[in-house]
Amino acid sequence: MRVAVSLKTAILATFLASLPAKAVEPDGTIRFTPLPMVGERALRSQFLPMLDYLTRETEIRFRWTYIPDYDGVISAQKNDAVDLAFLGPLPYVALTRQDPAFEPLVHFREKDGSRGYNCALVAFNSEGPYRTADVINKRIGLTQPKSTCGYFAVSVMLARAGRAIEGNGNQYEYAGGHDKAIMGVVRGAYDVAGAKLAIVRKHERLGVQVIDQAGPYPGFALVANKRTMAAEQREAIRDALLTASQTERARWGEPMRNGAFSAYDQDYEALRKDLRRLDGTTPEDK
Amino acid sequence: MLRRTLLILLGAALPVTFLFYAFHTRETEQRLEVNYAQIEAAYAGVSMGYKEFADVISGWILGDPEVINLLHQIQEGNDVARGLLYRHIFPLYDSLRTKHVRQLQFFAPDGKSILRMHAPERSDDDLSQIRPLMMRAMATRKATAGFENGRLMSGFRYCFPITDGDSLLGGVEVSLSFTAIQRLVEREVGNTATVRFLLERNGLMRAISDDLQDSEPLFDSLYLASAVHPKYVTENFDNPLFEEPVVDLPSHTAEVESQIGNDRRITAAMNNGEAFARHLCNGLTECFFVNGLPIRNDRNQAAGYILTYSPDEQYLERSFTVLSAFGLAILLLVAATLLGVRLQLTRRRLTTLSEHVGKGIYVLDRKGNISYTNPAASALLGYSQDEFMGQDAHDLFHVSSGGVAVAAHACPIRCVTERGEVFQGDQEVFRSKDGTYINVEVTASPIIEAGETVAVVTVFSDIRDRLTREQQLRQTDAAVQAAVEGVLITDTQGKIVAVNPAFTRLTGYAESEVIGRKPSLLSSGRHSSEFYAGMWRDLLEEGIWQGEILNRRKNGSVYPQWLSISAIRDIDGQATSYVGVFNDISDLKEKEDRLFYLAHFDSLTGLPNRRLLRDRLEHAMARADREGSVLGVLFVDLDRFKQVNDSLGHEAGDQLICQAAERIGDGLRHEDTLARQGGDEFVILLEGLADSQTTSTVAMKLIEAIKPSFRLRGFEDQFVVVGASIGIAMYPRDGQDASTLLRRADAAMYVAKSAGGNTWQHSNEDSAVFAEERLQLESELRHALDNDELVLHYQPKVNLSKNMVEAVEALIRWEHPTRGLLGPDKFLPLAKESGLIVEIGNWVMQRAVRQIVSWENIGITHIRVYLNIDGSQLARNTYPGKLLATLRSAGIPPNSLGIEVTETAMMGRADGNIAALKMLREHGIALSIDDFGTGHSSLNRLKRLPIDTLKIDRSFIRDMVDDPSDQAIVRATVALAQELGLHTVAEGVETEAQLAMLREMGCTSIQGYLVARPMPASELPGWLADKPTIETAYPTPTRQGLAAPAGKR
Repeated sequence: MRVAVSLKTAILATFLASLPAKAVEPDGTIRFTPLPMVGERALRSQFLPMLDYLTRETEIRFRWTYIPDYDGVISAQKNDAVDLAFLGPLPYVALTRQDPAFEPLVHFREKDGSRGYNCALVAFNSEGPYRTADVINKRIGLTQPKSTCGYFAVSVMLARAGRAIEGNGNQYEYAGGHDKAIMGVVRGAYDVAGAKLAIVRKHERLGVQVIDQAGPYPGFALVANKRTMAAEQREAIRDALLTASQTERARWGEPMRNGAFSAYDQDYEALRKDLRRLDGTTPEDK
Repeated sequence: MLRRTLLILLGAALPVTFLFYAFHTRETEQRLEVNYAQIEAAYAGVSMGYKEFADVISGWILGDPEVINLLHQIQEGNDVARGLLYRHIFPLYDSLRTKHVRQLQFFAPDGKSILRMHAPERSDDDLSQIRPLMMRAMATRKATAGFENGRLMSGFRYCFPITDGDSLLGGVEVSLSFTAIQRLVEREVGNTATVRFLLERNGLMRAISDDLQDSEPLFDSLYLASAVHPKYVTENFDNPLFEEPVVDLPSHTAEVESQIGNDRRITAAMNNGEAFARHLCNGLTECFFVNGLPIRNDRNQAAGYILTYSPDEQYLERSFTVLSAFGLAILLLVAATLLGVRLQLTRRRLTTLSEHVGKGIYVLDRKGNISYTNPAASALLGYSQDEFMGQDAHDLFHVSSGGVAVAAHACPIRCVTERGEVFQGDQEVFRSKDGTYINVEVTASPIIEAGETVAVVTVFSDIRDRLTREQQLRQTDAAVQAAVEGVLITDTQGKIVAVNPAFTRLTGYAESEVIGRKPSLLSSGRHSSEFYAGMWRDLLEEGIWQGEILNRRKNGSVYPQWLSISAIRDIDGQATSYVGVFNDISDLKEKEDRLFYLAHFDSLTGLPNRRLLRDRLEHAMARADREGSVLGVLFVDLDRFKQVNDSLGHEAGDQLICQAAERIGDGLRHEDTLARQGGDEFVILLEGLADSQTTSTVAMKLIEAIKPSFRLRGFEDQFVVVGASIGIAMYPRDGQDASTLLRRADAAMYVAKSAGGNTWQHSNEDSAVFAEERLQLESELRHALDNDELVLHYQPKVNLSKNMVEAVEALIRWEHPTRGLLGPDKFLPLAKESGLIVEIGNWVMQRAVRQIVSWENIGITHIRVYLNIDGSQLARNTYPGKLLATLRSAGIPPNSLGIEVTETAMMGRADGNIAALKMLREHGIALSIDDFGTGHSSLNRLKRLPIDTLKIDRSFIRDMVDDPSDQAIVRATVALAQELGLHTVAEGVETEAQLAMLREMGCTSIQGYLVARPMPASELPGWLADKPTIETAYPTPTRQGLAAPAGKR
């Protein structure tokens, strides 16, 4: 089990660790960073074709910046050390709660073309529990820290049923991914697990049963720093991504390959509402 | 003596050199053979070792009754059993992963996958076509093993049938990771070797594309092209599907593999699926032992290669030994040659070479007679060698030298025998045996022995073709130099070798700046790599490419070119150079762009026009179909725009349209479309909507955006206020095509407008009916003029000081054949929108004048008739003239007539129009400002207007008795009029209390139900006559009963 760190401590630590703020590069180069979801080499192969495309379309140059941890990404944004970032919904909400100077430019569609996704709580069909309210004294499998469908969504679903992820005798563990969390249930390592609903559907032929759902939540977004990026630059990037051809997108990494649509801060309202429901429990604490 | 010694040493050095060389070669071959044997053994060892391992695994699985039981349940359709099988096998599979087993998979008897332990979410797909090993194992009920491609992963597989008694339940397959083989091979061949696995591309593609329609991106993400051979690829461990650690390759990998790929023998061996072993060097210092072991599938075809290469670290040492010996032999040879061997060798070589060269050669003796000729000389000049021998060459065939005939004694070739100097000439002419003159290039060299010229060797070649080509080239060059088009020529490496002056003029680059550089220096960066790849593909396949391209001048500006590139080929068809010819088509493009802009955009606002809107709408509908979203079409019409346009003029109207367009555009998302439909109408497309609710939100925002007053240039002192009426149609709910959607949105807009404007309305059946009715009404109104269905009613105005009726106001009505008598509010707005208002205004003018004449004929002469003039009529400068002409034609004085103009229309008039009003006023026509107090009057302007009367709006009169504010306004208006010397008329007077107050304030006249309702012309004489006398004090108590619903119209 992970040791929870308070929000204040995390903010203080990241603040102290961060470098002094620096505005956008003198030659107009935009500093881009993705969330470190996989290794840097894989991230580069996913994102550099997209950045090359943006340079061709907008004549804006980009500098690749790799920050190996989530908190570092958030901190770098707040300190104006990066201008553009690829963020999931929870980090975005965490960021804008601390600093409103950020604007989501586009969301990327899910693999099935949908504009957002749901999270699910699953169990193995031959065993209990079958209802969320039965999650008492259970082993709970989670995807990864910071994953929307992980600690956060499972907490939301349990809270609706009057249960708690860290109460009622429950224990949780990070499995390392959606598939791993689901297969942990199949293997019998967990009694229930949280994962993306779309991924759960693929595992239904293994006897996996959906017992609860949360969402829908917006997908990953390109988030711009309004302090360091001009409105024209943001608009040009948004425009180029909205009009990218399917052939062009086929060269990009999976998270961006399925198309983009305009993003607005209001898209995150449902998520913020669920967050408030958790009585102050914050995703960045977990 | 010395020469002999040298020759003996040379004789000894040469065998030693060859010995070293043979030893060196043999050692290299042995190393290659050893390497190959090691790889082969390692591969076989791993395959066999794992077979035993797989046998044990299968024994565990096949002997487990729980597995058999679960397989039975899975085949009966029990998904939970699949999960339980996964759970049951997982501990075994987890431990196998650490031993490089890549996959463990269960199959049904028909070849469908039951459970992949490495990808358990995927099952029930048919693999029978790409898993022949498994199908054979199940068919023969015997284990099989071998290399096989897979849909995602290829590898060495061990397949075992699963039976329950006599019944076949399916099969289980264990696949081996390449990493395992790779590590064992590395151990065998030493850690300095690099081991690589190459997989045959086509076999992989067949396996992947078996049921995937768009398999290329997946393939590209899984495999990397190999520089070793175009038909082979390597696995891309960056892809997480492999679950293999990424290992950094040695820095020389790319260079070495590129060199391997350039080796023809290796390419040929791989083409045939054969093993290969080669020693390759990069320069003099870096050499590698390269071995390739083909991995064969069950059909004995090469499905992959194990490629190893290791540096030959002793190569330099061995090479030095061989080269030293070789160098010594060379030195000895050179020394011997210097001592006299050279001439003998030269002669021998000369004879041998001369027999084979294409140039003609003849040798003259000291007398100038031919002592030797080669076959080429015979072929060129037509004489046999016997015919040449002993002949005087000059006399036989030498016609001229340097362009002139020369005598034999002056022949420059013969003179070589005397002078001993080399002669070279390219203007010689020889005559062949058949009399043909041949231009030749000649080199005549003396053969000198012991200081004397003993012979002359003359080499000549036919240069007629070259001269012809040079002539053609000169002509071509002149044409290219003078061409208007830019021309550049590159070699096959893509380097520029020539450009013409037009190139310099068009690009700004001087010839010296581009020679030797690549045409990419002209690149604008606007084209993708695919564009250039397509260009080169056409050039290589077709030899020509033509098209439009954006390039960059030296000054950085980008411009469009029309470019034609042609490959210049030699007689073997090989490209020797490329010629590009281009024009600057900037002007043409600008015209095209301008034409496109004019055809698709509104010239006033720059917004998409009706045509482009329709195009975008159709695309948006297609997108909505694809994405399952809905599309909103908002038809926006500005309220009161016409009044602004009529009163302030078209220029102000245009400003208003532009500002309104900006405000609307500011409220939309980037991806939405705002188009100008014409006039004051705009259409908005909202795409990607989840539901119709969003359109209402947008409509509300737009209405709020339009509400604040506009400031127009030239009218800065006025606050111009308009509104917006918006009709909304949704796709696909309200229509399946663009025309229907626009029509439905338009209809809904009219409903919104009829509700008072500044609101929105979603399309529904009612709005469609409303629009149809409106169209019907407009049609009927046009007929009403022809059918004489319009009539004028007249409402009296009473002068309070004189207590007499002094005027009437003409008010229009429509006697509709089916709907009865319609007031102006039912049809005048429609008449204004449809443009009928001018025609109706003219009709009113004619009809009123005729009525004045009729009344005069019966003695009613003292009553002035007031007409209401619409702003649009006033905007037409022809109106005053037409009015005066009508009066003249009817023979009635202008002071029989007055006109009423609304405050808004009057105050906004341009100075030119004020002059027209003054003209009417000067002719005696009374002018009154209608509805005074409802608009925005400028006192300064009011003072300059040629008016007689201010008509106080009924809204102030209605509540003036009880409302101190209204009372104050009326009082102030009356006082203002008195100050300016104007009359006042209070309209809508209905009670005696109002009358008393107005009289006390000093108001000049009143009009309203207290006096009389509007009445047909035929009733007015009776109404006037019914009064005891016109001069009798007014009002009379009997009129109070008329005070009912307000309104003069």
